[in-house]
Amino acid sequence: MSASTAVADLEDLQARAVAAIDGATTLDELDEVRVAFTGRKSELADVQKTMGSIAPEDRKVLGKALNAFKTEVEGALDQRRAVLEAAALEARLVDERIDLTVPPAAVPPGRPHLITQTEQAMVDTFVALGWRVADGPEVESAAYCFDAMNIPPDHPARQDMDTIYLQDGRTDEFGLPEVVLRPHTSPVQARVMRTQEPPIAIVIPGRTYRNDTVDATHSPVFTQVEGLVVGEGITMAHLHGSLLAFARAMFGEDREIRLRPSKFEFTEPSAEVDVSWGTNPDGTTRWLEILGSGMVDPVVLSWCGVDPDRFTGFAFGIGVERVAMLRHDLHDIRDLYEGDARFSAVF
Amino acid sequence: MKLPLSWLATFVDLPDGPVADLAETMGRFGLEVDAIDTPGAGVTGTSTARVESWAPHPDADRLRVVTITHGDDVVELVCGASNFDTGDVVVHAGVGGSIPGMTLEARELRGVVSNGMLCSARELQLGEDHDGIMVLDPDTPLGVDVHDVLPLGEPVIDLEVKGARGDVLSVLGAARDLAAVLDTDLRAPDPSLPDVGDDAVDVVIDAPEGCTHFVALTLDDVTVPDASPWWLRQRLAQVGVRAISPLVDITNYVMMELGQPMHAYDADELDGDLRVRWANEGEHLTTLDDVDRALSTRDLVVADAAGPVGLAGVMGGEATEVTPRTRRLVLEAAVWDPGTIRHTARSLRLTSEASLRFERGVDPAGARRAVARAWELLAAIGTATPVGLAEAGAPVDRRPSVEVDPARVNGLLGLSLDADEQAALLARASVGTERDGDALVVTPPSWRGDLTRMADVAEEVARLHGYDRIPAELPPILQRGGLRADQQAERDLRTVATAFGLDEVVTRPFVGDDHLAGTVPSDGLVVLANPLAKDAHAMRPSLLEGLLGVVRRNVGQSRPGVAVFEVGRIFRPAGDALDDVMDALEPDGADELPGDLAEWRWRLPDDSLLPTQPKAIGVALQGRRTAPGRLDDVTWSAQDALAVFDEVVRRLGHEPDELVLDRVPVERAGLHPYRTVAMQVRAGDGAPVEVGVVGQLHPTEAARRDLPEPVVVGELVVEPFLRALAAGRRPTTTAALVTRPTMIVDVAVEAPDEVAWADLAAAVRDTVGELLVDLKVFDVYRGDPLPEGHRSIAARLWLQAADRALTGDDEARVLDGVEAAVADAGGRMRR
Repeated sequence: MSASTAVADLEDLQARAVAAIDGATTLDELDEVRVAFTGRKSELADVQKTMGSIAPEDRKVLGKALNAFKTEVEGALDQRRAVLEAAALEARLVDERIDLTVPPAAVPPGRPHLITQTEQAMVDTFVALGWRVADGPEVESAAYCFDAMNIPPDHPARQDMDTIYLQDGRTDEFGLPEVVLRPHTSPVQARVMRTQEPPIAIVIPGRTYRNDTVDATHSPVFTQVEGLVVGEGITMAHLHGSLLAFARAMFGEDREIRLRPSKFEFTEPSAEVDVSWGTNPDGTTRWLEILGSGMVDPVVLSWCGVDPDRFTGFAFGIGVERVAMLRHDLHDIRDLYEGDARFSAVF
Repeated sequence: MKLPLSWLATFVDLPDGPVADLAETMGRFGLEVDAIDTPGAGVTGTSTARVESWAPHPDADRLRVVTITHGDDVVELVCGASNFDTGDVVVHAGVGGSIPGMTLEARELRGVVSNGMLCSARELQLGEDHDGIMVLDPDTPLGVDVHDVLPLGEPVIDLEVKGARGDVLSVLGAARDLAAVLDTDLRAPDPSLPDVGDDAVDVVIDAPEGCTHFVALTLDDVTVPDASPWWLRQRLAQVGVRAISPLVDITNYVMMELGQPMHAYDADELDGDLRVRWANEGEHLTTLDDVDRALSTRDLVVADAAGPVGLAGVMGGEATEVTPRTRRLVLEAAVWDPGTIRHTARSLRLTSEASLRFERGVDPAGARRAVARAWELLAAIGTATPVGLAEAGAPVDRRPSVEVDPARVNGLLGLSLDADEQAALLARASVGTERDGDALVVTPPSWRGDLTRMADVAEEVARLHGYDRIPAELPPILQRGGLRADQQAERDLRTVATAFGLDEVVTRPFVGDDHLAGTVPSDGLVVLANPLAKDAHAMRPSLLEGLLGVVRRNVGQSRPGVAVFEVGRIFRPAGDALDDVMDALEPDGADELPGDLAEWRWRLPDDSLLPTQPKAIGVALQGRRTAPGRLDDVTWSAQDALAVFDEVVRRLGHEPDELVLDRVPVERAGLHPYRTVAMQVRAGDGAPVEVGVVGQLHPTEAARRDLPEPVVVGELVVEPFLRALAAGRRPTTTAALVTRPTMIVDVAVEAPDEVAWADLAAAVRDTVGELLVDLKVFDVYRGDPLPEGHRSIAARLWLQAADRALTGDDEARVLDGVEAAVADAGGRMRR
């Protein structure tokens, strides 16, 4: 074979190869084209085999033509491969489309109950002032609930408490059961004072009970946070300051509180505490009553084994539900005790 | 206590300005106002008129057609009342006028046009009386606006009387305190007793411990009108007392005005003199409310020669009550012992306006004034001849003195008022003071029985000085605050439960007889004496029933799934089987905890036991386990509940173990027999102790409760873990962290369903020993070629030695050991 015939064949081959490359529609097809035109059994291989039978002076010409062929075909291959790869990637991406507006399947964490959240926020306020946390039983001795709190068995307040009693056979001299569902968290005051020396600064959260019919504002089960500070030199000014700090932590730093004289058996002097709540239509400060408080009555201190001539103290009790309802503008206390998922989901 | 403003103003000058401002001032000084009513506000176009004639309605039996005049006009109207006659002066609300809740128009009633209406007391909000229309005094001028003759729209302050402040349970008492608060003068009434002969019904006090003073005025020739004058009836109506008859109305009026309850006897019905004594055993008295009452020797009575005629301080007797025929009268004012009256009122379940005041203590110097005031009123509205005044005991003009250190008053209040300033404040409340060195000797007035101690005096000083002038300071506390480890852990376990997708709920902890048992089931119930409802008569012995209630509520809202938990106390009688659990798990060192924490039991002051009430966490899972906005077909399982409890216990610092809580398949009422396990931990002596239970509701139980399956419930008693933390237990790492390579070996174990995986795993753990780092289940297979009721569990073992790399020999030894151990446990290792 002459060199010129071989070069002519190559040109023809190159034209067909480039056409085949451009016609490949997938990377696999492209690879088949590459093997068919440049592999060991291809027409190119046949041309290359003729190199040995060509006159040495013509080999240079054929060699040059072969190089040109390779450059052209490989260039065409690379170009086509790049196009097909880009198309394949695009196809994969389209194939992987996910509608991320569909909600995720992962179950998110639940929520602590609003009463828990509120109670902890209230407790933490006093803990931040250096107080500790105390706890006690919910089924409680009437002696700790009443006698210790200066409410002896014949005291009218004892009947006014709407107490739920236990039917367990133990009764006092007036025939009233000695074991009750505590109507307030105050018995824990007695338990702590009887077993710990002053200074005492504690906050007592817990469930309490009254024989109240359920309606939008009454619940037979409710939650209290009680505070007690007893030591030497504790004054009503300390009561005022502690509750002011509390009111600002819970309701906003702009709040003021107001103490008003009141009467409770377990405190003397006693004070109801109002917190400022915006303004009235006439521009005066609006006040909301939030809790009862006072200086621990000497009878209470004595009953609990604390020397009233040496120590003084203050105490208060706040309804957690009331604080929660105020902070979150709730309308029905029953929502707190029904466990409806629609309510839980809000807080 | 209701306080009509005009009545109050007879004793004290009220400040100018809206009544709301007065109420606000009162509130700031301890006279809390519950409400301000203005009964009759909004009455317009209503005036007095006289009935000229009336005739039965031609077409309605119960109606009258009435012709009235306001002087020179004639108006016809229809009226439903029948308590009036021609010539009576009545109240006419004319066409275009209004009464509360109604504007009047000319209206046809069965063919007759009614031009307005005649008003009853209730329609004008002047009382409860609605039996007929108001018939006014015949001298009332005609055609005048009712506001000129009746106290319509007058503010009535409703005062909340607190604690021992019985002294403000009257118009005078409230005025007196208001004068102290406003630092102004009181115009105290000073009526005079009549000059009398000695023809009195006499009085003897046989029980001086129950009565300090008794005053009785005897009157002859008593003549009073049929009804009290309108001004008196209106005032009674304003303070919420129903008018009855002039003699009774007078005693009630004096009680409301002066705070001294009174009683009136028909002297002709009395047999001899009056005697204050304790009732005899077996004595009876029919009281004014027509109830026959058996008396005890702890009841104080007023008796005549024939027996009791009145229950002292509570209610008079029916036999001697005054009637329209009464011509001879005894007016009683007495001072009774509060405790005695309280006892009688309570034991007979009988309270009255009188007993309410005596229980809180009346002014022990006020009896004479009350009798004098009653005489004054009687003389004003009728005629009578006073014939004798009897008196026993004596008034008490001053209360016992209290010695007060002004420095301690300041120390209690956080104020710095010197002795003179304190004395001046007290003087405003008529409290006398004398200096005795640094001390103040304080003498309260007769009506202030509440001032007996330094703290009481300090409160009065603070009140009149103004609570709002007490500074705000923080207490100087020398202690470190914070949560104890167990208190922090109790918060953490909520965090764990919420992390699993559960919402916390709080339920009312009451159950009825029909309730699902929980941990360590027992018949023990803490039963209530006065429950709110029959089906809620006991405290919950477990958390499960309340949680199922929440499931029920949410299922009722058609939600696809529910996942909730609750943390709270459960209640069993002392001595319940649960006590054994608490005892077995009581941590070392608990007895050194402070105060009440030294034992898990709670006690009464006499050391007897309260019911057992440990804290627990319960969960309820129902239906699908879905994310918001999704309805994937994945349901909650008992395993999900167990996962929560395992993590709770890990977080509570329990000894780390592969399966933190041992699971023991159990059968429990209401729960699926093959999907229920008790959760156990090992006590100090190694014995397993049940601390919880997890199970799926039995299909029949789920159906009975109308709950779509599956419903999973579970409960874990956490109190022992919390107590261990309080006693100082902390999670510890007992071994150094090994860095040698880990070998992984997979095993497949086949066993019948009766053989629990927990037992197989325990056998594997036991035989592999300390080489075992971790063991995880990765597949459970049922079906061919396994026989029915068998499953194959594939698990991966991570093996590691501290001192060397493990070899093929180790692997072979482990597999041989596992094969033998699994066979012993009732399974078969597939090789």
